[in-house]
Amino acid sequence: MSRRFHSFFKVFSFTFSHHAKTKGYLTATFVTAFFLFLLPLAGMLAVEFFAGDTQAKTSYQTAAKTVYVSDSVYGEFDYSRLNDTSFYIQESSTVNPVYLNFSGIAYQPVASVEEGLEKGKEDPYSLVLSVTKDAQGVHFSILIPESSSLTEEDGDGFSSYLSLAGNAILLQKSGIDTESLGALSDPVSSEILSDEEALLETDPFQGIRDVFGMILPYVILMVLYFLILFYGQSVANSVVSEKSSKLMDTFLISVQPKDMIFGKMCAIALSGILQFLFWGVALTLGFVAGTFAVKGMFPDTDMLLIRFFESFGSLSGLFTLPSIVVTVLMILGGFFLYCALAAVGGAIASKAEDLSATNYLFTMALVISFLFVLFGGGIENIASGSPILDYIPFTAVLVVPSRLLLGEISVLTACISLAIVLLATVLIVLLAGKLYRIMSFYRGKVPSVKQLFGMLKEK
Amino acid sequence: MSLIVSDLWKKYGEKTVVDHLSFSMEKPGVYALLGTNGAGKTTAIRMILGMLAKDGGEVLWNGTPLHLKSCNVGYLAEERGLYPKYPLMDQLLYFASLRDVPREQAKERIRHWAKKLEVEEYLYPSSSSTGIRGKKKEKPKLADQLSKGNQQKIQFMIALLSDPELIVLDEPMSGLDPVNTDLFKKIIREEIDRGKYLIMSSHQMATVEEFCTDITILDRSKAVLQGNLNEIKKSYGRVNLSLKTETDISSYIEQSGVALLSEKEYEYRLKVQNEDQANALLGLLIQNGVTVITFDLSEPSLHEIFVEKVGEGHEME
Repeated sequence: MSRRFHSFFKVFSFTFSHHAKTKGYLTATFVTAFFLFLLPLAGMLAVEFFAGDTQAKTSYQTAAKTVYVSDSVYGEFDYSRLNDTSFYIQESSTVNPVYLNFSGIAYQPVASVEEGLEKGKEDPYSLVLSVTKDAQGVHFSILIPESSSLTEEDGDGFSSYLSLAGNAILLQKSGIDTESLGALSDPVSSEILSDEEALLETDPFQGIRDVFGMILPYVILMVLYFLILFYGQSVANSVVSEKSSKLMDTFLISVQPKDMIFGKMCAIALSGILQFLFWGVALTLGFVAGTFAVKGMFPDTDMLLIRFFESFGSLSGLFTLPSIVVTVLMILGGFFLYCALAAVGGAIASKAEDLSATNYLFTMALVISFLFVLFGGGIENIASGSPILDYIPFTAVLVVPSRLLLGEISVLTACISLAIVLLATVLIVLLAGKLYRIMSFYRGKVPSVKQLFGMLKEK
Repeated sequence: MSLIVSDLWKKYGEKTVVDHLSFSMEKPGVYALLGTNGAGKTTAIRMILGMLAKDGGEVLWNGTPLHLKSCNVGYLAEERGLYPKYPLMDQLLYFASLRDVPREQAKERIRHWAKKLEVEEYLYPSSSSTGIRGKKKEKPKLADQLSKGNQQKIQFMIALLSDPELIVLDEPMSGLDPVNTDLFKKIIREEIDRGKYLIMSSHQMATVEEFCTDITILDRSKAVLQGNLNEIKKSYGRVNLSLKTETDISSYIEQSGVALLSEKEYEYRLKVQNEDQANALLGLLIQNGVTVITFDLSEPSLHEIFVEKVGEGHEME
């Protein structure tokens, strides 16, 4: 056992150190990381620079510091309450955001519009608000006094704000207190719920879960797909390298094929994971730097992406630590599983050129599993997807991470799936080792699957 | 120590590739496995070393089944290579570590064998002058920067790094120039003197004759001749006669009934039936006043025995 581990470790460290030292690996790692850092940084700055003014157009603001109010319509209203914009706009929609800047305005009652205009002549930053009523309804009219420093845009901004707050002003004029006004402003909806759904309604993260339910399976699939596509080929190349270099006899006298394959697979997989992590860190740093740069250069920014990042703080408690740990292990397990399949391809190939014919093993397995998951409900409907997908190693790695994170399956179920995946990986590595030994002295075309089974039956 | 191979056989489908091969080495020395292409030599070696599953038979080292744990084996395979893009020193240290040789000891052995095999310049890059910037250390050599002969030396080093008890050399001298062939022979001789057990497969019969005490000749997976080389030769008797004279003696050869194999400027290679026939020819020449410069009666060479046993129809590798 110790000798086996010794062989595995030697193969692992040699393969890892040489793979991670190659110019191709280092160049790909650092150049890609550089672009992954630069892209979000430059992209966020560019978006804010070129598209930031489109948000200004949807904002309402005024430079007015005083508003003279001539209100002859029924009921009293304390106009200074308009300085608290949140009272009128409870929640800003993320689709059509409303930006209000109407705090710090002094509201002074006047007997008539004329009086307001007269007073306004002495105050260059004042507006006159006239509230009137006729058969069509209540009108809010904004007047800009002569020799005012204010522009028509300042008047428009204030007028738009009044349109939003108008109903609340009238409700208060009718004598309804603040608390009742808040109750009246609450949205009303009606729906039919089952018991189970009623329980789910109590989950504060349900909305976010729904969003993640749509995004997570694809994100995890994409991560796995790229990991397998990028590094599966490298595993197969590494396994076949002794055959290509005519070192196989020299190698087999020292190491068991299964130890060799396991060592190589782990080394390439680790180098791949490290490279991916490095890229992930670079991308994250790019977004962090982008956020700081945008906030530094455009202090008034209200970029949707930055607000999205800032909302991460409110997600604490959405995922539990055990589910995150098992999810990460499952993704890694899935990567190793497909790498083991790639190793089988390398074991069958007698030279590097044959890999194009043997790599179908892991690519086909991935595609077929994806189709199974897709039609088994594992992607579109993560919650109601067939539970058997959780126990088939090749599909489990695609669905279990999302299902676990979204709370559709328990950590125990995910652990059982993980154990099945790891067991399958070990069995595939053992098979690859046996095939490597059989195929190491085989000359000729790549054998068919039937021929391979025949060979496996022989000694 | 002893190596016993008994009743080793293997079939691929219906085709027998090694047919009940048995031999033994009771004391240190060199055992030769000879045979034509496809006779089963390399397959037999792979089975002996446990790289290939055998269908039957057993291989014992000191009375227990030969295993890499129980026997320190060095193997120079017929199909040879190195990682083309990795530094040579890294490869040597890697293979040494796979054979459980501690790193410091491996470094010592590498230096020892590098000196013996005259490949130090490829393993220990020296400083070279590069003008105003002073001295710059050369980059370590990669395998694909070496000639085939030098690569073969590195592969030979890999086989010897673990200081093996049993050394298996499959065509060790193929492709080497005469100078390097002598270098390899010297090392093989030293290893024999150190009490090592060697199994050698070769088509260079002169080399085999030089080292081997016992042989097996394989033909189409079967052992057609086995035993001690000297005894095999003795069993054939002294039937090769080399004669050199100052005049043409064709008529005397014909008169004595001796078979003429070749002739070049009064140097004759003859095949006699026995020593009496050779002596009769010598007497005839002396009687007729022919000056005989060389008269050499010897046993058949291994080459002749091999060709006789496996048939001249076989193409030599």
